[in-house]
Amino acid sequence: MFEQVNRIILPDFYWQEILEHCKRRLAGNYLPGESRARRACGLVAGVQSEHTLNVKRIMPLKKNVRDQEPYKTYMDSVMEQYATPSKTPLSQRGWIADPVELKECCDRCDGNNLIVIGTYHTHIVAWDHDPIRDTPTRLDAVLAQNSNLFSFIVSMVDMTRPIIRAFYEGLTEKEALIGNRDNHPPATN
Amino acid sequence: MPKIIIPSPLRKHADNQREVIVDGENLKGIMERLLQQYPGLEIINRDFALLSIFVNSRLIRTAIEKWDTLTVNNKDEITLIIPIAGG
Repeated sequence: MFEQVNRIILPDFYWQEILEHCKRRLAGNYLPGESRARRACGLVAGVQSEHTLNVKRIMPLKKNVRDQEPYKTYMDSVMEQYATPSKTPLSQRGWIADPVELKECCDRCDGNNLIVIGTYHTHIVAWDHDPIRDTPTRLDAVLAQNSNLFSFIVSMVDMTRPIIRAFYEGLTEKEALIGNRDNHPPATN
Repeated sequence: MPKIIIPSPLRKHADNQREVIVDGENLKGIMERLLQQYPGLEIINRDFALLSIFVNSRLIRTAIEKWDTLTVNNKDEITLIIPIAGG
């Protein structure tokens, strides 16, 4: 459905909403019921018009069940195989959304005639070979395989110059350009 | 017959339908029939080891080997939720 999409309209309002969510969590400000970890992830919902996706809603996710079974065993195994070595221990890397929360989000989308078009998550640690971290890792691509979703990567290595880029199924060669309604890249904040 | 809600990312494998009706008395039979009817959805067996299934609002935590013991009624709604994960 999204293979031919080459453009994503992300109005400034939603761009800011993603960044505010990421900044809040990276600052260690958690809402009641939220998982506590310096990362943020969420869903992006909207509508499709031929080769363009229009973002209509951002749904920040609260819970990360990465350390619960059966997810932990699966994630540990995938991390061991595909994660790029980093100073962050593997046990503290990766996230997986709570299915109950996902169902609530999907129900909300259905109720508003929206479809889930992607997920977003933060990259915050600069790597020697990838100082900006604004593209998906091999691990991101493995976890997004066959999802038919865009992976929105929110680079916050430099908090003063955040970057958001979108890649179909986390594949770097399948990037869709993000613009606002006027077809300009949204302003960084 | 029970109704199955297909998540939007998988609808391309089910003729772009949001919901499909599949005959069956238990979860195992219904899921098998769903995959027969829409072979493209075989992807949920192959790639989504962590697929979540809800019957109405209840998340099924029963092992797949025992799905034939899970009776599903005609008015039940089955929702498939694909895992969402990142690095």
